[in-house]
Amino acid sequence: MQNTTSSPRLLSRTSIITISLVVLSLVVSSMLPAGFFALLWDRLNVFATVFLGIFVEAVPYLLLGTLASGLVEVFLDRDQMSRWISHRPVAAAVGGAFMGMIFPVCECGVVPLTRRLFNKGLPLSAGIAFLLAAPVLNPIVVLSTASAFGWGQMLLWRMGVSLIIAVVVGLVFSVEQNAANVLRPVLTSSHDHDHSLEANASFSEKMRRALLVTADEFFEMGRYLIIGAMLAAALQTFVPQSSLLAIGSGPVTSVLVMLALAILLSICSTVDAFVALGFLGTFSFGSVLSFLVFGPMVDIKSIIMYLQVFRRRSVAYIVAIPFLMSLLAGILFNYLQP
Amino acid sequence: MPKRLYRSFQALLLLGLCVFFASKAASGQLTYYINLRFVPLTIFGIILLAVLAQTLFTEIKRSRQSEQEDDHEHAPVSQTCGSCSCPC
Amino acid sequence: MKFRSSLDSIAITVIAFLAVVIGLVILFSGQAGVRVTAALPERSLIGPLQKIKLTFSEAVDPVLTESLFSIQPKVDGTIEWLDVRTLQFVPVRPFEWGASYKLTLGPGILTQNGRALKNEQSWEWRVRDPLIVYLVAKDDQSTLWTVDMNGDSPNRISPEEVKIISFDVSADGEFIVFSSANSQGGIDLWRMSRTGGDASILLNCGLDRCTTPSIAPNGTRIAYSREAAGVGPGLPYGSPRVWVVDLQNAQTGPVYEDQQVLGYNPSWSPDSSKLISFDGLADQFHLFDFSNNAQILFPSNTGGTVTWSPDGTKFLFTDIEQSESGLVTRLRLADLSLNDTSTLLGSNDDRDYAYNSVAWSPVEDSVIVSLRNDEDQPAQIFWLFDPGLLDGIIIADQPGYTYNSPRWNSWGTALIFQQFKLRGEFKPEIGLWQHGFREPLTIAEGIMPHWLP
Repeated sequence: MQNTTSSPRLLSRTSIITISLVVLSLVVSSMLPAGFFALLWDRLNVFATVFLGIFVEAVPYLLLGTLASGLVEVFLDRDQMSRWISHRPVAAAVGGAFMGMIFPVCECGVVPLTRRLFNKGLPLSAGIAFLLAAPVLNPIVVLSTASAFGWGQMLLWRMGVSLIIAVVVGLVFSVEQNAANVLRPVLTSSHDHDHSLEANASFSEKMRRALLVTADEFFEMGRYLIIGAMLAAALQTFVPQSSLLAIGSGPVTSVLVMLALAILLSICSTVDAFVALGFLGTFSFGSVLSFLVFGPMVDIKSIIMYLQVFRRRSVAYIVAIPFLMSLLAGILFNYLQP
Repeated sequence: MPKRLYRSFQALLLLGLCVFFASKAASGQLTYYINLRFVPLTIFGIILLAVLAQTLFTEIKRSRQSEQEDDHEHAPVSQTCGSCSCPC
Repeated sequence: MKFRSSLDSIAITVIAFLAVVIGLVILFSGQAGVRVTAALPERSLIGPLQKIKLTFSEAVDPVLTESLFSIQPKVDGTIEWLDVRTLQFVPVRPFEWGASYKLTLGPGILTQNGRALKNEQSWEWRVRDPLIVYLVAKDDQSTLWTVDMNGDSPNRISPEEVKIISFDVSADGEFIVFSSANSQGGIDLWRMSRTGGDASILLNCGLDRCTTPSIAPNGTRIAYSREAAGVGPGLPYGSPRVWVVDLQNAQTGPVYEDQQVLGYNPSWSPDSSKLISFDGLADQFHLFDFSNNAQILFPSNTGGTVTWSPDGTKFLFTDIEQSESGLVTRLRLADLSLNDTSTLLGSNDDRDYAYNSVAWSPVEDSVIVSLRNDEDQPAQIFWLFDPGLLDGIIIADQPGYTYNSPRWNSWGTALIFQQFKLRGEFKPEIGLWQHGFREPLTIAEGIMPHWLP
C-alpha cells in the first residue's frame, strides 16, 4: 500500500527501478560474449520474417473465414440450419465433416465460421466435425495437395483419415447434451447486438451488416492469430527444425517429430502440402501423412483460437484425440507401407 | 469505449493493414514471405481489407448523422486493435 | 475416477483406447524390420548426374548396408552417408541416357543390434531426355524458356513479371538459380525448380547487386558476384567480389576476407572443392580450395572464360598477350599439380586467331574453342580438338554466322551454343551440334543457352 505521508524523495521508486535496470543491463551486457547482440539481432530478424510469413499467409484465409461467418450471420437463420442439418449424432457428425467440402476456409478462417454456425444452432457434433474436417476437405486444399503430390494415394489418405478423425471427434462430442459445457459462455448467451436485421431489409443493407460482422470477427480472431503466429515464430526461431529432424528416426519417433513440426510450423493448410513434399525424401509416407492430417486440425495459432470458442477441457479433447489418431495412422502406415 | 471511437480505430487499422499488404505487394516483397502462386489470394485480401475499411468509415459517418450513439461495450481497444496493429 | 460429464467419460475412454492401441501396434510391429524409402523424382525419370538417396527408418550400420546394395547395370559412383540413416549414391560418371537402372537392397541384417530388412527392395529409374533452357529478352520481359533437343515444345518456366539477368542450372537438372533486379535498385538471387512456377527469392541482396550465379556441381553451394551499393544515393557501386551462399542454411559471405581481392564469373571445379574467379585489379585468377582453405594465383591479362578438365586437375582459359605484332589471343592451360600455366594454343600462330570461348568435354580430352578462321572476316567458328594432340575438326562454320558460348551435355556427346547471323536483323539464335552431325541445327531464338539435364 502507498504511504501517503512519507517524506518527499529525491528519486521516485520508478526512477530508482529504471536506473537499477539500466545499470544491471550494462553490467550484464559487458559480461556477455562478443557478438551476442549481433546474434540476438540476427535471431530477431529471423523471428520477424517467420512471424510475417505466417501472418501474411494466414490473413487472406482469416478474411475469407470471417467473411463467410458474416454472410452466415446475416443470410442464414436458425430455422434453415435446423432443416439442413440432422440432429442424429452420426448423421450430424458425418454431415458436419462433409460440410467442410463447401467452405474454402483453412484452420484460421474455420474457427470464426464454426462459432457463428454454433450461434445459428448447429449441433455440437456437426460443428466439431466441421471444424476439424473443413481445413483439409475444402476445395483449395484438395487442389493444392493434388498439385504437390498428384491425384494419388497421399491425397486420398489425407482426405480419408481426416474425415474419419473429424467424425470420431464429432461423435465423442455428440454425447454432450448441454452446449454450455463445451462452449465458452459468450457463445451460449445471446450476442446479437446491433447485427440483427428486420426481415424485409434490402440486400445492400444485409451486405453492409455482413461486412460489419466480418470486421468485428476479423479483429476478434485476428489478435489470436497474431499471438499464435508470434508463438510459432518464436519457437521456430529458437528451437531449430534441424534439432527436431535429428531425432526423427524410427517408425514412431518420425511420426512424433512430424506431429511436433505440424504444431510448431503452424502452416496454413492450403500450403502445407508443398512443405510436406520437401519432407517426403527424409520422412516416410506415414510420417508425412500424419503431418498433413494433424497440422490443419491443430497448431499453435489454432489452439489459441480454439480457446476463445471452447472451454479448456473441450480444447484438450479436440487436441488429444486427433493427435493420437494421427499418431496411430502414421505408425500404421509406417509399418504397413514400406 | 464508445462505439464510434471503436469503429474509427478498427477502420484505421484495416486501412493500415491494407496499405501494409499493398506496399509489400507493390514492392515485390510479398514473395519474401509467401510463394508466388498465393499472391493473387493476398491481392483478394487487400481488396477485402479496403472494402471493410470503407464500410466502417461509412458506418461511422452514418452513426454521426443519425446521432444514435450506442455505447455498448466492446473489448478494450488495447486488446483488439493493439494486438492487430503488431504486424504493421 | 470421477468424471464431470458423459463427454469426459467418453473422451477419456477414447483417449485411453487409442493409447492402448498405439502401444499394441508398437509392441507387435517391432517385428516388421527396418524399412527404407528412396527419393526419386516423379515417374522415376532422373537427371544423368542425379544422386540417389535412401532413407532408413532407423540408424543402420554402413558396412552391413553397403554389402546389400547393388545397381544394375553397373555404374561408377560412390556411397556417401549423410547421417546414420541416410545413404546417398553419387554417380561419378553420368547414368546412360535412355537406359533403365535398378537399385536393389537385398534382405539381411542392417543394424548392429541385429535388426534386418525382411524383404528385398528395389527401385527403378531411367534418365530423362535433356532439355535446353535459355533466356528470351523481348517486349520489356526477360524470361526463361525450355525447349527439347528437336527445338519443339518451347515452354516459359519463369514468371513474366520477373526480369532475369543471369542464371545457372544445377548439375542434376533439378533446380535453376537466377538473378533479377529488385525494387530497391539492387539485384537478388532467386531459385526455381526445373519445371518452373515456383520461383522464390533465395537471397535478398537489398541494395547490392548479386549476379552471375554458379551452382556447385554437388548442389550444396552457389557462388556469385556481388557489387556493394554505393555509400550514398547516386554513388557508384563497388567492384565485384565473389561470395558464396550455402543452400543448406542460406548463410552467405565473401570467399575472400581481404576486400582488395576482387572477382567475377566464378567457376567451380567438377568436384565442387575449388572455386576460381578473375581479379581484374591484380590481373590474376584466384583459386580457392574449400578443402584446405588454400589460395592459388594464376596470372592472366584478361581473365577469359574458364573451363575445367574432367578430372579437375587442369583448366583452360583464353588470354591476351602483347607480341611483336601487337595484341594476340592465346588459349592457356593451368595445371594445378604444378601450380603453373602454359600456352596451349597461340604460341606458334602466324596471326591472331582471336580464341574466344572454350569448353572442355566433361568426360574426355576433347575441347571446343571458338576462333576466327578467316583473318578478313569477324565470324568465329567452332574447332573441336584434342588438347594432347592439338588435332581437331571444324564443326560449325556456316557462312554468314558467328558462334560462341558452347556448353557440353553431361555425356560430352552434344553441344549447345549461341549463334548470330552477321548480316540482317540482330536475332540471337541457339544452335545444337551432336556427334555425327554434319552441321549444327538451329533450335530456338534466345540467349545464354544451358543444358537442363
